[in-house]
Amino acid sequence: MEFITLADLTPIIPEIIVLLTACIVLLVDLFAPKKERAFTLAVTTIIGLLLALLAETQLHGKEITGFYGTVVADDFSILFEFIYMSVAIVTVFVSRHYISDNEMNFGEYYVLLLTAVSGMMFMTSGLDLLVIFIGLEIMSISSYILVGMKRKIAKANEAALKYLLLGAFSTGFLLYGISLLYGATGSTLLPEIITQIKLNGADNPLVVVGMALVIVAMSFKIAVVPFHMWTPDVYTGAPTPVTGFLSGAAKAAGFAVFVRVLLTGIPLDSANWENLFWILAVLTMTVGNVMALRQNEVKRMLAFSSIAHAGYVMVAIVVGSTSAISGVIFYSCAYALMGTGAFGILTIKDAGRTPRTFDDLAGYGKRNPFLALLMTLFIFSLVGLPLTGGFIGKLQIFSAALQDGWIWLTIIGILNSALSVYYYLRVPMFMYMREGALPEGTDLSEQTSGFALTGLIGTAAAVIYLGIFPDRILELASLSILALL
Amino acid sequence: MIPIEHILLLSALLFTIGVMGVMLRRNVIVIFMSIELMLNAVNLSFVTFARSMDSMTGVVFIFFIIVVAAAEAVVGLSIILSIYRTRKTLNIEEFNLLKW
Amino acid sequence: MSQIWLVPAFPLLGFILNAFFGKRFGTRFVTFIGPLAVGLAFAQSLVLFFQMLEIKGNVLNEHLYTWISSGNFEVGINFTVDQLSGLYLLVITGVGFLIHVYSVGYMKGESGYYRFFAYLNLFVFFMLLLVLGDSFLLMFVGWEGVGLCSYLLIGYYIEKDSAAEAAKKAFLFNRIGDFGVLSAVMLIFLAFGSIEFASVNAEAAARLEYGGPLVTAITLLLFLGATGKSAQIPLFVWLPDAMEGPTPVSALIHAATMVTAGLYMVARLSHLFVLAPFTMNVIAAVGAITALLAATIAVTQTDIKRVLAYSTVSQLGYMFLAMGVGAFGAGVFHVMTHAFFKALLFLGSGSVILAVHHEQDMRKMGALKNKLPITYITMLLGTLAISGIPFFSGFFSKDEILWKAFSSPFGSPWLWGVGFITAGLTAFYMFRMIYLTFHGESRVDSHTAEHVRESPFSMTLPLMILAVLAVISGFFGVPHVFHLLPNGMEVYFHNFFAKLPVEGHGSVSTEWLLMGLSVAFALIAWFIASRLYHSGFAVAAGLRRRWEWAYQLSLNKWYVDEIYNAVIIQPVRFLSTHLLWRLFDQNIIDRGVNTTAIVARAVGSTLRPLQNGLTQNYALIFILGTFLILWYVT
Repeated sequence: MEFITLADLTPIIPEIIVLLTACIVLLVDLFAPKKERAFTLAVTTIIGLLLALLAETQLHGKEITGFYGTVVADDFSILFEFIYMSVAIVTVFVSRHYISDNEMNFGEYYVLLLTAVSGMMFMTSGLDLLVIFIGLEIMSISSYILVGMKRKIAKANEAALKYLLLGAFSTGFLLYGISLLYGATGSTLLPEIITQIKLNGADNPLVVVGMALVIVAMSFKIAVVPFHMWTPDVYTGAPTPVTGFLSGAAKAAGFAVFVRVLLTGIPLDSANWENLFWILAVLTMTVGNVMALRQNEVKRMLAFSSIAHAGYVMVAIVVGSTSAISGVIFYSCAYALMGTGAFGILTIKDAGRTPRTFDDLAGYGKRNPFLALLMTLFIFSLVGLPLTGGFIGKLQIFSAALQDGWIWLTIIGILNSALSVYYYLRVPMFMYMREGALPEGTDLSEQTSGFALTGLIGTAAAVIYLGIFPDRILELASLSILALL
Repeated sequence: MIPIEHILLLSALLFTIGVMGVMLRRNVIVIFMSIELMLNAVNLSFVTFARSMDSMTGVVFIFFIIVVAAAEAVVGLSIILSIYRTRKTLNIEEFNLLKW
Repeated sequence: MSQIWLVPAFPLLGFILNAFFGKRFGTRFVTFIGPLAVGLAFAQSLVLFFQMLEIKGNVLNEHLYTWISSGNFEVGINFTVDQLSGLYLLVITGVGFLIHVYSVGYMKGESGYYRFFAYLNLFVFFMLLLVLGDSFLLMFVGWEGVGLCSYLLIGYYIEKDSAAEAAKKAFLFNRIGDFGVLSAVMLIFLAFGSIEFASVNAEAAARLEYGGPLVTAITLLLFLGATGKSAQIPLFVWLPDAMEGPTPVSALIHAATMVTAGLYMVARLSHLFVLAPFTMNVIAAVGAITALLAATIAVTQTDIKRVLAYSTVSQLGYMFLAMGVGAFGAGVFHVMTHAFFKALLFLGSGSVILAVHHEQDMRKMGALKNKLPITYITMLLGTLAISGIPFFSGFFSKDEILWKAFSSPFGSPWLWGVGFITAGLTAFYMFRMIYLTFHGESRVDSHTAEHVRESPFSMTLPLMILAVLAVISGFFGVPHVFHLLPNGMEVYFHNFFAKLPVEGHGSVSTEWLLMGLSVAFALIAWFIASRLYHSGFAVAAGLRRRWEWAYQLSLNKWYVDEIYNAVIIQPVRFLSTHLLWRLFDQNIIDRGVNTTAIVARAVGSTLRPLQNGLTQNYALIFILGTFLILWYVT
């Protein structure tokens, strides 16, 4: 039996860089002079993430496995890891002033952000259910703390507690499912599981129940109805930059694992499974949109709508063709950017407070014309208007669904996106059409921090880039899937 | 030797007890303990399979589960502590500021 | 390497620099960047134009990138320079450059100087996209983009209510046209499975039945779009109001370039249009009637820019007349000559307006010819060109159109007759404008009169260059009958446009005769104008009293605005308030909305209690979901 060598580390170099950065950030937090600490922390984090991105580009196209084939750096994982790191970078940009305004300005904030990212990266590169589990837990535990970072705010505490309890609860189901699959196939390595199932047939009740439990737990992470109940509460209670991070990166990580498990692990050929996913997709889209209709809080509306977006991605997973799965990747990427952008706008103080309800947005267009413009762009992308990434994402998914003859699914999906127009457009409507009645003596002279602005402009540029030059990403996505199959 | 079905049944039973505990108990700490019970039920199932198939993977898996559970317990208890500080209660039915 | 993308890239860069840094870096920066961006685009266009001429097949293609490709569905961003877009390129960037230079002087000291140049650069960018795109996609992006810029520039003087109103009107009328284009594009996509011009033109005859309902519908819808953009009946009323914008804008957008976009589209799809004889007849008729109607209105206008605006509508009518009789080359030829002399006339009028302190009323002008010598001479040359006086540019292009209107299989003596009368009217109102502005006695108020002086060099130079072009550009397309030169236009467009199903008829002697008639008519009109308006309005006033009704009809623009108001706007308002609102809103929509709301609310109300904030409730739903899934899959 050969032993682990240094070469085994190659596929996880980016992960290692991210974790090392986390350690460095801790040290910087200890030793940096107090005055420049906040800035240094943020910049260190960004540099670390950029280095990791660089490492990813070097791994591109090689498909290296390590640790007895339990981790892999293939194009699929690299694409998704790009998404996590981009979202993390944007999050750092919009966090700096937010965390100092909310008394959570600790170096740990960045450390946890980095460990969460490393967890997602391990999840995505894992070929063994053990690695996937560990990555998932690194991500989840880090984000439990991130959600509860505002220690003195009751709602933040509550959100963290709910996330923790339900997250740990779903972990139990995941593990139970894995143990059953292990019992049926004698392995936790995805390629071996699939070989075993193909040899012995998928009728073994251990396999079916195990699979179902794993899918349930994954559905929890990506907030598929009916496992979505935690999403709105946690997203509302969490610090807004963290909400953006969760909705952008954590969900994308969930999709990555979902796709990998379904594509390389368990053959999903029975009609039963297909129907099941069909129902889940329709439920997820519809419930997300219907619930979003009635919200008065912008953040909560975005939280519900994120469920609906997960539903569109589920549509692509149901369809399962190459172009549909590249739609999953593209949509995750586009949603990560536009979602983080929209939540990012909400982190910025306006008229002495961060906007919470729709009424707070009244008059926003006059007070912050540029931010309002960016927000409108993000909203247009979320709606799926042309020249934005959101449009191409929806086009890709629904055209793939039509090509494979999923007519009803497509119609329901398009009706749902039409429904979403109603609540999304309330945001620009309130920003531009309503006059805001501000309390006397509100200080309007406040300057938006250039740091946050940089991040948001970058995000907006990326959203437009995806809308105008989508082809490169789509091509990379479909190539990475062909390599996966 | 005890047939493995029996041990699996025990594990399933433990898991169910854990789930019921999560759903029925009011105290957050007890709920958290019930979740730990669920994880340990999984451990039992893993070790049973590992033993019956004479494979080490399951045993390794258990170690990781134990470590993760410990980490989760640390984080969980600190979150419970901080919510106790703001709310002065541990009754889960009172934690419903976030709804609708 | 052809590097077509550079042409639109320069103005786009100019727009970005002006828009984002113009305010900070000040006037001199803007003055430098704005014209330079278009100048560079012009230089690159020249290079491309000659490359295109040399290359076999006269087409330069450039694949910029593929926008979307999924399966068999591919949308690329490609640029094409061929005979048609090459000519348009030169006109847009060349005239555009001159007008940018002119604007430096004209807009001096205006607030929002940088904004003006930013919009103007952006306009050029979109206009270039419109003509360079190889498919409906890019053309439509450009189409909407120029509309947007036109809207912004008409409303440039934000503080003026009339400007805001005019901008709104232009916006609305263009939307109607856009609806036509979009519907047509959808039909084309259904019929061809492609929206690329090349494949549509190539396969049109094979896929569509000659004169069939589908091709007729498509072309009529496209033509509806063209009437919106190019200000033809029924959507022409926005253009005269668009004169609220600064004069360089009127020259560039509302005379030389944007308004010819509709013609561009028809010319671009000539192979499609010739398959629909009914549409061709409609185009010819609409063009001819618009030409005549607008000319009769121009006769009595007293606002110098409005005279030119109606003259633009009228000349555009000529061009559509040419398209309608299948003389695509002649139409495009007139687009070019018209761009030169109409831009010249507008810029000249701007020079006059500036000299008399933003007075546009010709009743307060007169005797300016000695004070504004350069403006006078250049405008006179422009007037000679537009009136079709022999050997000036307008003579050749207009004569070509009239001859084709007579001799083409789609033509008829009637169309010729309408065009002929219009030509006379054109000469009349143009010389009327010249006499009222530059001759006779000064009606400028004495205070202003002291300050009247010729415009700066940055304004007169473009005037002089355009005047030269207005005089000589006609020799590009000398008719055969002269036996002077080969007809450059025909050589240039050789085999580019669709051939008509039947050949035209008509003898050389008829052509000479018709040409002589129209020249004589123009000269007579000139003579009458000189008699009537040589010394102001006094002589004409007598005539006016005798023909009061006709005068009123013309002055009030045939009451088109009022008719639209009475026939369309009021009934629509009536319908919408009384019928539609009662029936539709209150019953159908309200009920529909209410039903949707009730359903959504009902669904919401069922789901809402579930989201009650209790963690254990969430866990319960989780478990139930798990059980349902387990039950389903086992």
